[in-house]
Amino acid sequence: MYYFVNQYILSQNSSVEHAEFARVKLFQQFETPAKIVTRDFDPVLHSTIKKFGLADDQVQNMFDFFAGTTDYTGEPLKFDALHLSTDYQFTTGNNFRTFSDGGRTVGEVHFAPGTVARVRTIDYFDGSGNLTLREQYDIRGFKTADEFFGQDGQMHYQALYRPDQTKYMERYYVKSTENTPINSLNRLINYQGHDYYFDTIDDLFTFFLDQLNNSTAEDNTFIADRPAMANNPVMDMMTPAKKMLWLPINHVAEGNDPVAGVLSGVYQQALNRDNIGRLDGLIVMTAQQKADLKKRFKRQIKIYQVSGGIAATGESVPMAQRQPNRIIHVGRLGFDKQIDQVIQVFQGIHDQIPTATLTLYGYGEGADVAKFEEQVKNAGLEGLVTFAGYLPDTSSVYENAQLYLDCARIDGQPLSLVEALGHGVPTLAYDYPYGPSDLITNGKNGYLIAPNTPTKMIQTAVKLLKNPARLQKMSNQAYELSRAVDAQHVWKQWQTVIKG
Amino acid sequence: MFYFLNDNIQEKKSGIEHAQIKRLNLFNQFQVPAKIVTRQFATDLHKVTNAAGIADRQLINLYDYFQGTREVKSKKIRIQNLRLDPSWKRVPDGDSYNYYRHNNRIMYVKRGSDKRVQNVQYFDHFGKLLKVDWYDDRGFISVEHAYDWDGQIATENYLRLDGSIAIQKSRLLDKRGQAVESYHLFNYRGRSYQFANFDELTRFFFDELVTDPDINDNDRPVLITDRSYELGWSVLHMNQHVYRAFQLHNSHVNDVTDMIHSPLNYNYEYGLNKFDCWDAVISLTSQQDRDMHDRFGTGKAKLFQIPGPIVPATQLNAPHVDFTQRQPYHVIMVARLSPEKQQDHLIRAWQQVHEQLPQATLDFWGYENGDTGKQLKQQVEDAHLTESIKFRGYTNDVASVYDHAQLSVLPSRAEGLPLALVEAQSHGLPIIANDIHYGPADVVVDGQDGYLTQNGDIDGLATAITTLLSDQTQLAQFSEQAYADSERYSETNIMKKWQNLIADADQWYQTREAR
Repeated sequence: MYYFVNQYILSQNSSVEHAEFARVKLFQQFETPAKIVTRDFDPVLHSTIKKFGLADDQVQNMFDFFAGTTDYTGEPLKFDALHLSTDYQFTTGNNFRTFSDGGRTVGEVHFAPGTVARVRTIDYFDGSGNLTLREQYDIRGFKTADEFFGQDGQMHYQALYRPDQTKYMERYYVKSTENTPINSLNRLINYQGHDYYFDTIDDLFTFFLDQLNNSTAEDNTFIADRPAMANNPVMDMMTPAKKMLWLPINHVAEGNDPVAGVLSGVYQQALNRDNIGRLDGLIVMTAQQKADLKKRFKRQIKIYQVSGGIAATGESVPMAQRQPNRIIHVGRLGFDKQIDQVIQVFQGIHDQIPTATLTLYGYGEGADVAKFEEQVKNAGLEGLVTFAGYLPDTSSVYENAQLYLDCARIDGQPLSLVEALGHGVPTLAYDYPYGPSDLITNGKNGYLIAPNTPTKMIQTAVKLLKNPARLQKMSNQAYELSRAVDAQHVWKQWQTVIKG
Repeated sequence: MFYFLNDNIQEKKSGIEHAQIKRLNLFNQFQVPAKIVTRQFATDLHKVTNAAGIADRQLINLYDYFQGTREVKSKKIRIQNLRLDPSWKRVPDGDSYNYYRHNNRIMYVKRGSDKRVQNVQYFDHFGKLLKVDWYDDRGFISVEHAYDWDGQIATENYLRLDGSIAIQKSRLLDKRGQAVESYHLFNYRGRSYQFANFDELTRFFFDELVTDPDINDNDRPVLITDRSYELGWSVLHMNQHVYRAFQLHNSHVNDVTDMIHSPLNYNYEYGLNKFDCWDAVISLTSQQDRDMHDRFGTGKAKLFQIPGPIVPATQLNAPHVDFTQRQPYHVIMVARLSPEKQQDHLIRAWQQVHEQLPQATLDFWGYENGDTGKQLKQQVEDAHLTESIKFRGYTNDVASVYDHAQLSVLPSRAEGLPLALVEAQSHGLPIIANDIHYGPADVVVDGQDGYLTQNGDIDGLATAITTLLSDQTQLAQFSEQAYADSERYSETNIMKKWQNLIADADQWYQTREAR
């Protein structure tokens, strides 16, 4: 079994998760058992994963493991099925309903997002309005936790339940020097006849990975995907298994020498001289990063290259069927991704091609997004630039676009670039490490532009958009060149890992 | 079904608890179904109530009721019953143990001298106490105390035998810094409830009791409210309308010189202000009954008079103690050391007694209330009476105290109907007591088995004691008369009084059911 180790799957995910979704589906396609492993407690996990086309047996959550609920099925608890005292008066509401006893507010029932009156949490208050108890309901219809709150309004104690309402874990929280909660003890109750105590969630997670490894007779491989939280627990496993790191990002900070420069913080512990030997390999997404790491680590560790993005292999959509001069970008809206430059480039294109539009797909920090929106407004581009938000599945948006822009500075391999090219969208990208130069053959399926030269990108884009024949040819070549990273080819890359 | 409602029963019982237990025994003897109801939690509740002779099936504690732990077979939880990690380092602390992992204390197991586990305390690696699991004496975790960020017990979870939470008690401060205790009832008969305070939960509990066929035995419920100060609100706010009686245990006014207008004793103020809401109000003595009629006779509740103390047949039929076997000139006072009992008056009188009869001795029996005990001991020392006056504390064998003394004295300023007087009399003890509201006049037959003295008359009290002790022949006659006079408080005689109230409750239900 292959385990892809991560922290969570949320309703909006980063490329770390999206790469995992594609990967676990690839393994399924080639009939090789694999699961995504998540660490965090999440009562709505099993409805979230359905939105990304994952089945219950493709995701192994730690709390599900100890509760025995990985494959538990059940319908969300309806508000009407709640058995609260009939003495209470309920308000009406779509997102939550308050209930009271005479004039005193007793509690609030909150509903699961995107559902009609399906219970997610119930909060109870004392006579002076202090929150005293929060009941958490799993989206599969059972109470999964009671949470108890102290004088400062913070949770200090959490009791976790199985569907039969027996308690399998207690979690405790104390105050940090910054007045934030620290999980300071986790007590796993009567697990195989013993109680276990863990100081941190990392310790608990490591124990869980070992238990997961022991739960089958197979030889297992654990691949840590989210470096900050998965590297150490995977490395610290006591039981024998193949332990590898997947590098979703560049291993050095921007501007540092990839071979001799200081490692990114999240890799300093796992890849130092003492620890690197405990790992069975590193997997990177581009040949360029592989070459840099080989120079860096020589024979200390095996390094594999497997594309994270997997290009689609559907019918080609000709340019004529796409919205003319529709430009897109897919990815998180952040200044580190230089979305401001994407907008700036679009402004330049629009000056010369008034029918051009830009649509940005992805979420971002509220403050960042507000600044981008202001930039659009100041440039007089309102109505032409659309912030379309996050979509769980973006394949359809590529098929209606004519040009893709990427102004980032650094990455491991931009997933959306693979997807854009795979859907026949010619791509203009700054030539940053790593990704664009592996994916773009200059002048064939797009153009590599010197980083931070928006003027150059504007000129190139305008020239291309004004030449429909050339645009169509580039689109054809995008489809064609993407075969190198289609499912068959990426699976071939995986063979090096599987057989290595 | 009679319910005797109380707040708590502890090892040290006041007259109210003793009266309830005697009443329960009486009802059992006459086969009238009855139960004692309490609402405070204790891990040793059943040890205390069993020792007091209360069968588990006749005790309904609020927590027991919701936890489903009313009748549990007792087992001893030892350290080997806990799932402890053998790799932890164990360091003894008396009978208890600290456990260390990676040099951090992770657990403390507190044990009694009998090696039973009393509680288990959990610590995190910062050394902070997180939670304490408390074991009931009967061998199960009955409550977990969870400590919040500030180290306060913000949550107490009372558990069922299967470990699930029956009641969460949360204790947080309001804006004025006052503790607000709210209660969450989990999955009780399939429903969840949140109560703003203990009285609301108690109200709900009473409503459940009187409608629970397993408890109520399909009988008509009759509530005898023995602690109206603590329980009156809950009883009077019940949704179920059942027969509700309110038992006085003391004088109901502060100023006995003005029975009609005096402010009410704070213990009874709420209950008597709601006089019309009760179906019955019970006085202890004939004198109190008259005063109640004078002040409340036109109200809706019916007035009854039923003494609390009961002399069991075994005591009435027991052989009388030969007077010569009693310790000569030995005087006792059995009462809490508390200002209204006025032990200080007796000590002042004792100075005169001691001058006349240096061989006379005085023992004070009873537990201390506040720092009254300290003050009294100082008074005895200042009066140089430490040779003749001793403080003996609380005893569970008061019978032997009565059987060895020659005289019992009660110089209180106010009483209901003191159990100690009736008990002393049934053990053949002559009594000298202040003729106050209420009780002494209903027990002491002046000049026949003792003397009634005037409250505050120290000289009179001293003279009465000296006179009676000096004439040992008359004292022996008084003693025989005391045995005879206590027949008035026999089981049969007291039950006759209760029959009046039982008949009234029957009538009340018949009228309601006819409607």
